[in-house]
Amino acid sequence: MKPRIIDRLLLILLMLVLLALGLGLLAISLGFVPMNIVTEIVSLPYQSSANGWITAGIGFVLVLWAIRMIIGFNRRARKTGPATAVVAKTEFGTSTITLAAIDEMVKRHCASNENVRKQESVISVKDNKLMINLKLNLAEEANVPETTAALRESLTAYIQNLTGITVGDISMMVSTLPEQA
Amino acid sequence: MATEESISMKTVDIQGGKITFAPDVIATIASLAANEVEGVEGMSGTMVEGITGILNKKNITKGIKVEINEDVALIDINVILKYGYKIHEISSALQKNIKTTIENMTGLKVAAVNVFVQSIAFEKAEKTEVKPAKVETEEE
Repeated sequence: MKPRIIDRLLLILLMLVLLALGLGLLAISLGFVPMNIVTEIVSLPYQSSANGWITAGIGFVLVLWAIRMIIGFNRRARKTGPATAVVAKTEFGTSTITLAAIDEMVKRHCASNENVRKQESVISVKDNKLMINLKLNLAEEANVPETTAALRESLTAYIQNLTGITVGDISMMVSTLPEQA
Repeated sequence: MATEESISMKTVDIQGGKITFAPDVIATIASLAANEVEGVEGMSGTMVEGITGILNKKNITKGIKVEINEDVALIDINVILKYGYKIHEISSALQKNIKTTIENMTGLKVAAVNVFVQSIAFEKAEKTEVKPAKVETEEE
């Protein structure tokens, strides 16, 4: 699976740290850094308990960093459903449509209903049938059972007529109940 | 030494010689055949094709992938369809027209034309018609 952006940033930071460390070791080996400075740096953790704790903290952060990168770059891809639906399979080939395109059609159909104020939809495919989950905000004067039944019927006919794909199920959740007179 | 391009070309043996087709030729024919079908808004290409299209002249083979294996060609086409047309009917018309055109013009056999509908193009006027609820709310 592709690593996340944070994992890539950590990898870049690690590369920079390793680069600095490599250059430092080169400088030491070539005699650019006097021995007393190296000795002073190495002996810092032993000079006081505070320095010891700081060194421990740096070591702990490095360990966590390494573990995070091992996990990040070996993360298993989450199982996600298909992003397309098959329209038809014929002797000429296969036709598919993206679920995003179907979602746009669903949104526009719902928005054209005078009783629907706002809608959110999630489209998925199961057994070659479309599964539509709708979250609706209805108008105050709308009759909820009648509106949802009519919308379910019209949306099914609309999608099946335009795409040729069978609609398996339309689940509706009315998130804001209108005030009944 | 055979190059990647020459390997993917299809050679048709005819009496007196050979005809070799580059994949771009097949893709161009497919693109022109696709645009003949009513209901097709255009082709949907990759991000790279989009960028090169901005920088250079229009890429006529955008969104079309041609694969030639031995004696047959396989066409994958990514399209944007116009709203209001039946998608299954447009897809079927696309497949038939592309297959027929390529086979007639080149003599190649087309195994399959796979159509991928990437999005639907809605007319701008329809957007205002779809928003009556908001307008009524504002008027109240």
